[in-house]
Amino acid sequence: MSEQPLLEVKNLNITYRTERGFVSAVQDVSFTLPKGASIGLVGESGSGKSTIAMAVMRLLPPNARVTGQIIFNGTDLNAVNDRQLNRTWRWKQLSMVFQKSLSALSPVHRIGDQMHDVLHQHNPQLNESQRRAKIDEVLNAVNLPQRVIRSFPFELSGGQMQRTMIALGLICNPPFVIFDEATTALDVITQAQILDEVKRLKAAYNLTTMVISHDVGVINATTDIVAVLYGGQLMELAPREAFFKDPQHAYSRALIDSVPSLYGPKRRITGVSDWRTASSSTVDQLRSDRPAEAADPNAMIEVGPGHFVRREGYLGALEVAS
Amino acid sequence: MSESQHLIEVTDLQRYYPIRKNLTDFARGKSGEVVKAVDTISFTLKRGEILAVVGESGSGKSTTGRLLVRLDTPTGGSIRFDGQDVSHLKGAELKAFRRRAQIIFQNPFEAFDPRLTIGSSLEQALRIHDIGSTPKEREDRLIAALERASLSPAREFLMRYPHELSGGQSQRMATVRAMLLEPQFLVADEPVSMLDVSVRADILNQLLDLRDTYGMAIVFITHDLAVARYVADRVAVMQHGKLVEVGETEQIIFNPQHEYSRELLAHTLEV
Repeated sequence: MSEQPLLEVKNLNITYRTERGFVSAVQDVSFTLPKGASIGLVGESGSGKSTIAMAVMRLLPPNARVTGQIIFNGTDLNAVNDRQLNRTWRWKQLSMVFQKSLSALSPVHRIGDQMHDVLHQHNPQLNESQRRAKIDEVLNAVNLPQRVIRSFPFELSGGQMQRTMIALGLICNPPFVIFDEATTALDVITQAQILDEVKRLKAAYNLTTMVISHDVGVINATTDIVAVLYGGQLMELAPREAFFKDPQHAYSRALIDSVPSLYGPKRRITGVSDWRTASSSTVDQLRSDRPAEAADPNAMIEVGPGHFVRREGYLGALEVAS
Repeated sequence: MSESQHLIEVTDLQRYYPIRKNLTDFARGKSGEVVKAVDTISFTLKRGEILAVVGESGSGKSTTGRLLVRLDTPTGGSIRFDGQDVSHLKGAELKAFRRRAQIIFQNPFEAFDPRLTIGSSLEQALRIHDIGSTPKEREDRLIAALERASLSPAREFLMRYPHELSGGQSQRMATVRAMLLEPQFLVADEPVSMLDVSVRADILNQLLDLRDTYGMAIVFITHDLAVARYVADRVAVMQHGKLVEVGETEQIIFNPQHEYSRELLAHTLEV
């Protein structure tokens, strides 16, 4: 594990300046992503998961204030100037597959022309035929027929459009790709196909990925590390297997329990709004056992190898320090 | 009293859409080929029963839902509702049928007129169907309905505009509106697929409670088999406009007979 991680996010805080004062979107989020691994950010709308992705891509609006570090391959991206960012980093090193493919693609340009544009912008040294070869390659990689080059976005199905977005994400060979709710709008069968393709591409191109979803099923199917976010804060950070076997935070458990099971025993599912009440006994116990840690509800406690849980809401009992 | 115990009997239901290939055909109103959106399906639904209709995009499940509440007219076959053939109702008879059969849609953000307050939208539904004689009486009814759905303070919710509601609140409000007319039958077309997981449970439980309290029959359209299993007594699987399998929920989940049902199950992500 001495190898340098591909992405390291340290104490990330994001605040928006609005007419009604400052609004905090992300608070003190830290995680590390080794090369070749995949992290899943899971949480509800407004939990800050897309904001973190946009911060990594440096695509936040001007009224956002970002503190903390986003270290990509040894470089703090927050310290890179805009010109450098566009030349060397964005799309060549990090790319993103956006949630709404229909609005992400230009409705009045053919798919092929949009792909040429991306290559022209980021790889100006390529000539026409090299660009064409590259486009053919990525279309093949995502199983799209060549005729898509001549198509307009409205002529494609939802699945084809999402494949087009993935092809665009891969077109400059970045080692790191963010998938932001890439399969949310698709039906189960198309979703399964796209997720399979993402897995295959990840192996073929040796990608490191960040998958953003509100669907714990998608996270379980595609990632190695799970980060649970709520209200802009990290609740739990854990290896996937440990997480799904035994989630240690009240909110994580509520999130998993809010989804009906296909094969498991039938039980009444509940919303996740009341997770705080579920964990209050642990907090009370903490107050008496370990006053120092109880004082800081935001402390992240390490409960297993690579497994961190926010103190407030932690379901396990803390050992009393001897 | 009715000779049949079934509230709804669908027989050989069809909805074909003509494809007009060129302007000449269009002008002549002539069509050769058709798209068979719903292709000769039959099923029944009892009072108080929830039937989940599952399938991928384009399988015809939403078209079936629209036909059942007669937002669309079948091109063949029949729908019998409580013994009466409703497949070609018009005018006053159709309006009377609408009081008994309602629908809620997938996108809660488009369910209400953005220029009207929630209160005016809901009151309109009552006024159209001549429920309540005075504005005061109608308002009292609305407040009672909102409070039953735990949308309180009800009076304040009625004064809000649609954009001032969250997705979950909008969908609960759409369900309240559908229930104002005390229908015996409800079509829920993907009611939770656009909502956050955290509020999905509330909507699903609300529908289950409505069934338990009023004995309402529900057709629940979804592509998520785990959700189907949670709400439904029986499941109907659709593919390319055809019904490929219908059966008891547990039977379909644990012992699917049709290849396509198995494929759907295999692609459902389980935690």
